[in-house]
Amino acid sequence: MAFLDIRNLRKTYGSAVALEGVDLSIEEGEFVTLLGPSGSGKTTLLMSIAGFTRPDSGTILLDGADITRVDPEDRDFGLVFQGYALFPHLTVADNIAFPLRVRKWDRARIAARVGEVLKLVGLDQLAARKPRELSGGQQQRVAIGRALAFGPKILLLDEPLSALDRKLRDAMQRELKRLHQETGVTFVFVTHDQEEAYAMSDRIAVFQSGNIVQVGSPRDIYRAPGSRFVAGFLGGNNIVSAKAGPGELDLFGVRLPMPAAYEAARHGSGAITVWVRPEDITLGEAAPGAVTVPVTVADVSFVGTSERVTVATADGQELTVLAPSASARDLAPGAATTVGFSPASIGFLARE
Amino acid sequence: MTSFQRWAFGLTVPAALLTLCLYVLPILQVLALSFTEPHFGIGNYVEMFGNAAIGRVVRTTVIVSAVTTVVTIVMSYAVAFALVHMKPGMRRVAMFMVMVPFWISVLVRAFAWITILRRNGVLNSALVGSGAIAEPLQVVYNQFGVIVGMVHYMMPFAILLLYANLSEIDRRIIQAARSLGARPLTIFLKVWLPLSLPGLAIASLFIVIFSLGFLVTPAILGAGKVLMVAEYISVQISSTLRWGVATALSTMLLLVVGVLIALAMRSPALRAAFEGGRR
Repeated sequence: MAFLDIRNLRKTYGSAVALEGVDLSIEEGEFVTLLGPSGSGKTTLLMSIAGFTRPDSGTILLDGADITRVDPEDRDFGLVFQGYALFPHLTVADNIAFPLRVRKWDRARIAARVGEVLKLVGLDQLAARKPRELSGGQQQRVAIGRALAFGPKILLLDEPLSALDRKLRDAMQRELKRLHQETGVTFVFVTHDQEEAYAMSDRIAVFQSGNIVQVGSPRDIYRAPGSRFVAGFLGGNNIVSAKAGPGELDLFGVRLPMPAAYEAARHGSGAITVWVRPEDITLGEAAPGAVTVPVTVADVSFVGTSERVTVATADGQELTVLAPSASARDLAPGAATTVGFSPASIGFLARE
Repeated sequence: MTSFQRWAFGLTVPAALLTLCLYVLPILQVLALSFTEPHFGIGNYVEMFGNAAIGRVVRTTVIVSAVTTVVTIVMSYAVAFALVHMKPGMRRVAMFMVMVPFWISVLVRAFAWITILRRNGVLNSALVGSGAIAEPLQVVYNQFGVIVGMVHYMMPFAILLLYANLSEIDRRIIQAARSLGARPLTIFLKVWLPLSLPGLAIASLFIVIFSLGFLVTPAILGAGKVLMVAEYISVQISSTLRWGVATALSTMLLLVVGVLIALAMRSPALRAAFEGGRR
């Protein structure tokens, strides 16, 4: 049995369904991210685990014990809020000591533990500050330290990085990963940012309108999206239509032998949906064995590490290509060129 | 200054003139009278501090004001606390009920309290009739009655001030306290209460100042037996015509209120309340 077992959890607000019978098992020590667009139910699930949202039906088991109706204060879960929710009238050290005083630890033990936590989150110098005297990133660390101080069974994080700027967010992602490894606590992290999910998680649960549509490791989800929604939500994928004939695939008007990944039973035959990652496509001269497609350039935009080139194929579909700047230098909208990709990089979407 | 700003500034001139003529000048005249009536000098102030009757009036005023403030704040905090925890529909109804006394004249309210509290009034008839007590309670025309009427008058103000403060507290902070394992009593004492200090400070100051100079309710519910400063001044001016003593007392009252505000503004909690959104 899993450490945290969520079974058939359902929650409605009036006529709006927030969770439509969600199942999820989390192992002890895992870093699991609940990923999905806003309103997809991920925060409702997190708040149900925390105990602030009462599900209409379904159960939450912790180590086999039913905690569905246990009050939040009795769950011993750390919770990091969006916007941190620090106690504004208490210093950093007193914020971190709060859960320990509530648990009636003795003075010496509290002082020792607060010192440990301050060091863990890198705030030893700021113990006497009030939250309003701290930067966003520092407040974030206090919130995480406070939630970890009492040794929670699970740490729940509700989009904690969304208010930080990009550079700080990258640093905090590494920091959270380190904290997860150092403490060994089970982390459940909510975000709508797929890069955040990829960077930190052992497993990702993808949410779509109140359901978990796919659970897997970041690589599995990226490489084998189970549905059009997952394929599209995760990173500007090219989702295009193709035709599956006996033993061959007709893609952008180019016929090629059917790749091994295709299974007629799962992916259908006739008109089917396939995807190709932008970074798997090369511009111009293609490698031997690659599928070569004649295209017209529609748009070129510089995105820093590379150029994002949008091209139109002869059969009127659009493709996005992430190409090294050198290969895209001379391209202008309207230019004719070719793009190439390996047949093995073609992904097939299951029939829906 | 743009022409629009000049124009807007110009609009405040009539109000400023009105304040000057009807408020500042009369106050200065009160101050002047206290030193000149009936003789030039500080005789009125010497009398004020030496006169036993005035001493009693001041003591009554301080006691009634202090008790009124404490009772009003405690009861209003309970109401405001309940208000922030209500569902929106319920809150609208409750808020309406808080506001109703505002629309009823303070005179009407004072007489209504007499109807309820007097010897054969609503309260005593009910208590004697039900056999709870043998003799009617003396609950009006004394300090108790005055305090009841004043608390009733002050509560809507205190409730609104406290509600404004409490509703600004981020509820996620309360949730955070729960998630950290705190029980309701701990959350109240360690989170709600410290975070409502600015509201408590400003509401208390408001009620104290209001109580010190209150006239109508103590005059009616005290019926001359509970003499407070404002009524004493009013009697000196309109009945005994001792304008010198009356103006000296008025000046002292003004001074006390000014000192209270100045002291209060030194407390960080109150400054925070006045500075509002600034952090």
